[in-house]
Amino acid sequence: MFFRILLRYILGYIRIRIEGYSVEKLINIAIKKKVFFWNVKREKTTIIYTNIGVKEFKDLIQIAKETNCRVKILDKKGIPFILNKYKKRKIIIFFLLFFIILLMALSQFIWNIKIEGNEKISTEEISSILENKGIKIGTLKNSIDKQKIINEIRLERNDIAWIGIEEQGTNITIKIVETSAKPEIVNEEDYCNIVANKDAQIVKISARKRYSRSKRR
Amino acid sequence: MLRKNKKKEKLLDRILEVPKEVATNEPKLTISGFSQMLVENYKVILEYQDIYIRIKTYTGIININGFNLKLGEMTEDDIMITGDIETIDYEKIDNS
Repeated sequence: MFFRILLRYILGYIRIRIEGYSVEKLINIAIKKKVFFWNVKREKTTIIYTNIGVKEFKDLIQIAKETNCRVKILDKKGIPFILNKYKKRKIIIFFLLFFIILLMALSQFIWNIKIEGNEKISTEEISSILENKGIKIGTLKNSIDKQKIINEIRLERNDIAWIGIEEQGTNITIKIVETSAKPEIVNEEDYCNIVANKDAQIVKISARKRYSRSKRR
Repeated sequence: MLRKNKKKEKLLDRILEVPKEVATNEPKLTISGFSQMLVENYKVILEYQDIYIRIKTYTGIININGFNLKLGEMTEDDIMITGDIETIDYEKIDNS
């Protein structure tokens, strides 16, 4: 019931005065025809005040004609009538539209870059890399190809294990996980010579793998 | 048009525990405090004045006395009365 009144408020309603001898008859007929009205108040024996929606008002006038009642509009309430008031003030509407468009347009750009998770690599270094790739303050959000940038950075830098780009409205958060540079792997299958730095005498050779060619001199 | 005749409570309704105001045409009055009253299953408003409301239902007439009585919200089945309610009395009609 409350919802119905709320709906009438959105669509607009009017306060009316009905004058006639058979007001009860009018109320009954209106209810039977599913004309919704509320807040009925009796003033004297012949006058009632009531609220009614704008759309139902035409039906009520017809019923009032049948029952010989007079209807007078006292007050117009609701959102449509409030908006009507501002119809002549074009500058307000213009600026309202202007601000909405401005807000929507500005929300398409990036205004904040946050870098998280870096310890060894300085923030300036990362931001300069990102600038080269096209993430700058004031770039369009749609123009950023996240996956491509992530791949490029990971190929270029060895000390970044993982990089993530997160979009939250006009903010961008870049999360970085660092690694130490990977150690050189020695292929044990390769042949190689072991050469000592200083002159020395070999006392003993203990070969763990394969066998030693040289013999003790 | 089922509502026009007096409906009797059927056995099925009693087994399924259908609410009485739905199953039958008996009026249901809900009074909350001294200022609000909801009448369900009514027929017509016979009389409406500032101090006196007469509502016809399927089993009788309900009279409500008070001050500043207002009809709050009205639909086909129920009616909301607000204002200072003083007395409520019934006039039973035998329509066998």
